[in-house]
Amino acid sequence: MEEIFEKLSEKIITEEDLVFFLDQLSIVRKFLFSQTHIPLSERLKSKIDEKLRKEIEKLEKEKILPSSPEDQSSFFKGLENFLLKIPKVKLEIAFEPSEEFISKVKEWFKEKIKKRVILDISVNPKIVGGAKIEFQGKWKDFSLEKEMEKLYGRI
Amino acid sequence: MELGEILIFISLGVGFLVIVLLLIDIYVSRKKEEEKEREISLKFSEDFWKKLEGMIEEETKKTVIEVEKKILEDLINEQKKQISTFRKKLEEIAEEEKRGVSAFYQKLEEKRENFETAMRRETLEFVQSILKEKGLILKEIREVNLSLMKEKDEILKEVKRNGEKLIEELNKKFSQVLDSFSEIIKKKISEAETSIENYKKEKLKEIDKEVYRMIVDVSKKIIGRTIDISTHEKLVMDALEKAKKERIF
Repeated sequence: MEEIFEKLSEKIITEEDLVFFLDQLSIVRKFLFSQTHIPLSERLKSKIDEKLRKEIEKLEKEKILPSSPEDQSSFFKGLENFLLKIPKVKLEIAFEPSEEFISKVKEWFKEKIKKRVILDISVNPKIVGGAKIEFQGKWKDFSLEKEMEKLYGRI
Repeated sequence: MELGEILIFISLGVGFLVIVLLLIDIYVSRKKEEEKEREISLKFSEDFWKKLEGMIEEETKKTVIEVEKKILEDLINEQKKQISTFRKKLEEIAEEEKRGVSAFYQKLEEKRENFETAMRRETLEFVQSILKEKGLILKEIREVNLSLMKEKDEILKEVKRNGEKLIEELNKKFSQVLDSFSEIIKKKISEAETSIENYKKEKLKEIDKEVYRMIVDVSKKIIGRTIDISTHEKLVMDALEKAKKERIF
């Protein structure tokens, strides 16, 4: 099941993505117990993001998504729990990152750390360059601001 | 002559007249008894008796007058004598009294003189004793004065000694206080100088910090602007590598 969840949440990289996805899931769950004779993907047309709706439709066709509303609810609940358990990395950087760069960072974590993470990125030009990183209660300043402070402190 | 003496004389005169009148009365009563005896012996005839009576009466009258005269003369004489005697006596008495009085006066004078003498002597003695006492008192006063002067000198010396000691101690204390004050003032000045120096250093540090801060801020802005996106991305990736090395993940 985790593989299915992993695939479903493949596009979720940042905190904003996660919040948006969870919001979409809450909408999905609202439609679980109404008009059950109509497929869920049909019921969700123009209600949620089309990408997600198509994913759900795909799951229906592949019979991965259970047919009963109760089981469907459990499925989405499981998906939600899976997403909430993904560890978060807070990154404070000096520039507005591009999507490519965010993906690059995500890949770096996948390759170097062997972990799926959610990136909580905030932009602060005052740090000049580099990043301030926080992960599971640990925090470190790798910014140029700090380096400059050190340099001027020595002066 | 005093009133008392006059009254004595008058009373004596009245007494004398009373005595004279008594004597006349006695004489008249005796004459009557003698005539009664004669009457017994001469009872002869009425004419005789009448004539006799007449004669006797005449005679008696004459005799009475004579007797009265005589008595009066006698009385007067006697009175004169008496008065003279009385006068003499009185004079004698007066003389005596005068003498007595004179003696009394003399005695009195003597006594007065004695008294005066005694008084004078007593006074003199008293004065002498007083003078003596005065002398003694003066001596004592002089001695007391001397001892007081000595005491005074001693006290003055003592007071002077104490005063000098006190002044010395006060000077010492004063100089100590002044020293401590000057020490305190020196200390305060030194503290003030130190605090001023520290304040100066602090302020200079603050100014330096501020200058550095400004330099850093300006540098940050300049560097931040001059760094391109690829460099930014590289710096972030380097930061991730460093974090990995430091086992943050």
